[in-house]
This record gives sequence, C-alpha cells and structure tokens, in this order.
Amino acid sequence: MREPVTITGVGVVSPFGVGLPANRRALFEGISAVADATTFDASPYPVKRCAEVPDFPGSVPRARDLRGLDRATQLALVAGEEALERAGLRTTRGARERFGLCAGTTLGGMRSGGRFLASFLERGPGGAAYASLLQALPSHQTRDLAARLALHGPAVNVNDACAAGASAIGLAVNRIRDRVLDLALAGGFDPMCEYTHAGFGSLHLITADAGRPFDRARSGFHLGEAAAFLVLESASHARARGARALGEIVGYGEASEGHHLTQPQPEGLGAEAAMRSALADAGLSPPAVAHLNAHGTATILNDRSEYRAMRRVFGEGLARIAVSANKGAVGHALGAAGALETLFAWLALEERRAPPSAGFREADPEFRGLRLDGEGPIPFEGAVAMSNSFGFGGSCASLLLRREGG
Amino acid sequence: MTAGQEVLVTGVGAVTTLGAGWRSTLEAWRRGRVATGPIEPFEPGDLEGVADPRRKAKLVRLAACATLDAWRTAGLDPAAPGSVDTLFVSSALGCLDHSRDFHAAVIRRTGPSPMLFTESVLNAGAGHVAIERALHGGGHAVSTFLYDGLDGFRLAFEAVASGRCARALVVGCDSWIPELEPIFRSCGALRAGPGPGGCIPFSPARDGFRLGEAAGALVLESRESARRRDARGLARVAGVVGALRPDEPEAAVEAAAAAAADFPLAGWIFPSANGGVCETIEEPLLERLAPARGERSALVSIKPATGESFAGSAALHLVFACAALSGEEVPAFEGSAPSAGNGEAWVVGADPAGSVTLARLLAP
Repeated sequence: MREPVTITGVGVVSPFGVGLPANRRALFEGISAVADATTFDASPYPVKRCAEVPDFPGSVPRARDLRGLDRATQLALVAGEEALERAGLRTTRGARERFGLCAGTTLGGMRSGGRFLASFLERGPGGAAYASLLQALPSHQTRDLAARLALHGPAVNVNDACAAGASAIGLAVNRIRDRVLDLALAGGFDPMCEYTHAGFGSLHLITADAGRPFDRARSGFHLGEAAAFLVLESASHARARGARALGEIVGYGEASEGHHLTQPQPEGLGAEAAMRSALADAGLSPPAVAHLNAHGTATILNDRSEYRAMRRVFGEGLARIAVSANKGAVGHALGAAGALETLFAWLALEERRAPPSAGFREADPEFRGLRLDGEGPIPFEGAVAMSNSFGFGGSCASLLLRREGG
Repeated sequence: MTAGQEVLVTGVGAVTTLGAGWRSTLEAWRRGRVATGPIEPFEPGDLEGVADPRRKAKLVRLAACATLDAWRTAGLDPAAPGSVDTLFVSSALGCLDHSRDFHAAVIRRTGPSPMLFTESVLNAGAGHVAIERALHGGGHAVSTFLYDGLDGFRLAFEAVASGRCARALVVGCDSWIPELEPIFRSCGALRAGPGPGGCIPFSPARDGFRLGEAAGALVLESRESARRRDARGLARVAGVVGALRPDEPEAAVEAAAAAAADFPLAGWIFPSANGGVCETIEEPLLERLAPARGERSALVSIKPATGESFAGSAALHLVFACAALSGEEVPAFEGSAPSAGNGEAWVVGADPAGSVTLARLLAP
C-alpha cells in the first residue's frame, strides 16, 4: 500500500507580494503585476516590462538577515521559511536527517554570475568579484536553504528549465513514497535577471502587449520572478506529529518530448504523456479533474501544443474543466513557475473556484471547449486539480492535487 | 541502503582527456598517461552519431559522447527510441562556454545570440540527449555540489530500485573554460608547482589540483529487465546513502558514518580526494569508515591522471568502479588490486561545504 503524500505547509513570494494572504487576494482579483523593470537596466531592450516582487526584500521583516545574499536565495528563503512556519516546523531542533529539500530553478544565482563576469571582463582576473562567484554556482541556493532551514536529508537541485519547480515537487513525492524521506521542502525559485530578459527577448518570446494565454491575440509573455515551496510529508508522519493536512499530491507524471530544445512538439505528445502518467499514478480517470492550471505561456506554438494535448487527454470533457493560466498576471517565473502554479491550483481547490486568467479576452477559435475567464473566477465542484509545466529541453511535468477531505 | 528491485549497471561510457570512450581512457590510464585541462583535440570523428556538434555547448557534446559509449557497452541500439525510461544529467557548473559568451554579449551590448542562450540553459545536456536518443520518459538536469557529484546517480538508483522504471541513464559531466583557472587559483585550490599530474590525493606533499573536463555515463537497469534482454551486468548497486550538514563538515562526517555504519568501506574505494580541498572532510570520513584501508582496500582515483572535473569525475569513478568489479584492472594509488578483490567498490562524494554521499557497488 502506497503512503499518501500530504501538503502540510505552503509559502510563496511572487509579483503579487510576499506571503500566502497577499497572493490569495491578488490571484482572485485577477490583476496583472506586470510593470516597468526596476531590478535591472531594461533600457537597451524593446520591452522594458516584467513582473517583479514589489519592494523586495526591503518589505520583508528581518530583511537585514537577507543582506549579501543573491536575490534567488532571498526569494527562496522567504518562501521556504513561510512554508515551514505554516507546517509548524520552523525550528532547527530535533533530528532532521529525513527532512529533505527538492528545489527547482532555471537560473539559480545567474545575477551573481553576471556581476562576476562583468567585473572579470572589466578588470581582469586580478580584480574580479570572486565573492559573487560562489553564489552563482547552480547548487549554491540549495546549500544555503538547507543550511539556514536546517534540512539535513538529501537535497537536490533540479534544473528542468520551466518545468523545474514542478519536477522538484514530483521528485520529492517519489522520495517520500520510496521512504527515502519522511518530509521534504519542495518547490522552485527564480529571480528576475537581465540574462533571461535578453535571452527570451532574442527569441522574440517577450510580448510588447500583455500576456494573453490561449487568446486569439496572444503574442508571448513577460518574465517574472517568484519562489514557492510546499512542505510535503508522508501521511503517517504528519499524523504522528499532529500536523494539519492541507491537501494531498495524488499524482505525478513526467515526460521528455525528445523533439527540439526550445520548440514544443506540435501535437503536445510530451505534455499528453505527462498528464496521462500523472492520472495513472493517481489511479484517476480524466473526468476526476475539476480544475486545471495550464502552463499557458501565451506564445502561438506553446499554447497550441498544450491545447492539443489537453484535448486528447480530456476529450469533450475539457469543456467541463475550469482552466486557469496565470502568466498574464505574474509573468513567467521560469523554474519557479511550476511550483507557483501548483500552489495556485491548491488555492483554487481551497476556494472552489479557478482564478481569473489575467490578459485573456477572446479565445482562439482553434481552442474549442477551453473554459477560461479573464475577468473573474470560475466556480467548480470536485476535489482534484491538475497543474502542468513544460520547459526547454522538452521537459514536461504534471501534478495532481486533491483537496483535503475531498 | 538496500534496494527493492535489484539494480544493475549494464552500460558505462566516458569521454576524458585520456580518450573518447571508457575503454580507451582506461588503457591510457593504465599506461600512466596524464592529461589535464581541456580535451584537445575534440574531433568531430569522436562524435560519430552526435548530431550537429559544433553549435552545442561543450558540456552537451561531452554528455552526448559518453551516452553513446554507454549505449554501446549496454548493447542498446543507438537508433532505437525509448531505450531508457528516465534520464538524469548532472553537472556542477553548467554550460560554461555558452553561458559566458551570452553573458558577455549582454554586458557588452553586442546583440546576444538566441542560439547561445538556448544552448546555455542548465538542462541543455538532458534535452539534447533526450532528442538524440529519442527518449520520452522523464528527463532531469541536476546541479551537484562541486565535489559531491553523485545526486543524479542516487536519483536514478532510487527510480529503478523502487520499480518506477526499468532502465535509467545517468550522465555526470563538466567542461573546462580558461576563465576557471584564475578563479580556482584565487581560492588557492590549484596546484602551484610544475609537478606532473592532476593531483596527489592524501599525500603529505599534496598541493591542490589541476582542472580537467570529462563526462561519464551509466545505464542502470533492474535485474529483471537485464535478464529479459540478456544484458550483462557489470556491477550491482547495493545502495546509496548520504548526509548534508552545510558548513558543518564534522557533523556531515558523523552523519555519513552513521548512515554507512553497517558496511565498513572495503574493496576498491574511489574517493573525491583531489590533493587538498576534499581531504579536509574525506580523511576523517575514511578514518571512521575504512580503518583497515590499505589491507582490505585499494584507493583509486582518476583525478591524478585527468585532473578535477567535478560531476564528470564523480561519474568517471562510478564507471571505473563498475569496470573494476567486472574484472578490469584499474590503477590504484594506495593499496593493491588483489587486496581489494572482494567484489566490492565504494564511490565517495565529499564536499567540504558539508555534503557526503557514499555509493556501494558489488560484483553482479
């Protein structure tokens, strides 16, 4: 008998703000947090807007403790601490050997890497800012998180591009089921960074309009930044310590498209495989899914590929599912996106309504039966939600959540 | 430390400064050849079967090459899709060359190339391997600690041992760029003297390491899956344990020793030791776990021959642990092969930041 994996804590920092209450409020209001970039000089780029966490880290209590850390670490720490706090685990006492960490990121400390390289290019090896370099190591944030949050179980830093946050949650679920861990802090983080703004800009994926997922006028996304973490725990461990279960991760599916490094497989075969695999893992059939948080990057090709995959998995039943796509509101937070959107899906289950998909106005006629609303939430019945994440390299991850008591 | 399903290693592959392929690397290593720094020349001929090599980051090319080598050893058809169910590509540093060049273009405002950007993302290696080998299961990129590069191997072992998949591919790789030299020199990690070799592990005369680049690849497979296709097991993975105590190396040693307490280290031991940095954590670890070292064990490291290549070195040690267990002679720098011939090998990942992983392999 497989042990259920429960959610006992959640923490989030996003362009909606710091902490769960701010995110819950803004998510269902349907606002967009996209604004002019402030954390880097966007003047050389045609699009100067992105979705940043406002007044961060200045607005955070104990912001002084975050000084000197890369913004990636700051975001991850604040979200991680909130998740532990809500799980009743904000302590460094006791045995933590079976408390692991699974963190997903696309960039890690790339901002520090940029600072280092700029100093290296300007002043040569003798004058380079070596202190920045350590924080640029891809594993550095994981190490910092494990150190500051006293997580002594196996830690893994997953870099599955824009699916990284979802993959990290899935790998943590597997490790708990395999009894490698009793509990894990799992999620993703990525800061805003000129490197990615320039990179996605060079690919013409950043829109000068608004991010409009699945809209007939869609033209790309804005980048965002965020960190979101869940405390995942075996049901027996949570029961034994008297922790309140907030929900359950009932299924995880993963796939590689094996098609192209950046372009989606046109029919969405990888996305379909990940969704079907998650359903099989959960022992559920497609009609069980009441809410779906789509990857929805609002690019022509990605949305088409994702829709085709959803259509094949859910058939005509797709019209019954309340779908949300949140990148028009919070931008594309890359490695954090999968974890952030999983947390949004959990919030939707709690609220029994799908958050509005900011930016969406009129469905692409190609996307028959896709039920999104750009203005307001969509109420739904049912206790199961799916969150999908897809990334460069053909990484596909799909998670299924069940409402506590559902 | 025990597995549910028995996990065998049925294929190994390598690309190093000593050769393109695990066999040519081992032969050059046995002959005493030493080559650190970048792999030169890295001929397209070495990349037979790797598509469009020139535009890819060096790390990606290394990973693709080592994978092909592992495919051949495992008896898998390079053209057959879906040969493995899941894939883990580990690296400590990522696609350094393309990342550096793209960053420089951003900083200098010279018009960054989209190709450089897409080929610099941390999962470019996993993505390309999946594309080239037509793999459609889970594909993951994992960033490891510098000197403890065993995370990907551990995840793959767990995936096969739990029965989630029948066959997994693990690749560990890191590439060299010239800028790494002043960086590691500034930390005092590199050998200052002109002496030959990548490092002198555990020696009183140790004086740091030289940098290299490499990739190692392993096919992990359930015994049942191997039996069905009549594949030969090179080694059996008995288990992987670890401990993480950031900034508390003594506590990490204590916890790792406790985790492996029932299995004293014996046989071939492949340490992380690289002539300075790793020994700070690994010497006390081996004192605890391998008190009879030299009598019941042989210490083996490819780092004196190829230099330090981080996740690449860790994967190479796994590859050559399998080679030793399948009857190949591997050069030991302490102890001797006959004393180690008890059908057991350990690969140790030890990072002074406080991370220790121990992989135990047995004769199949």
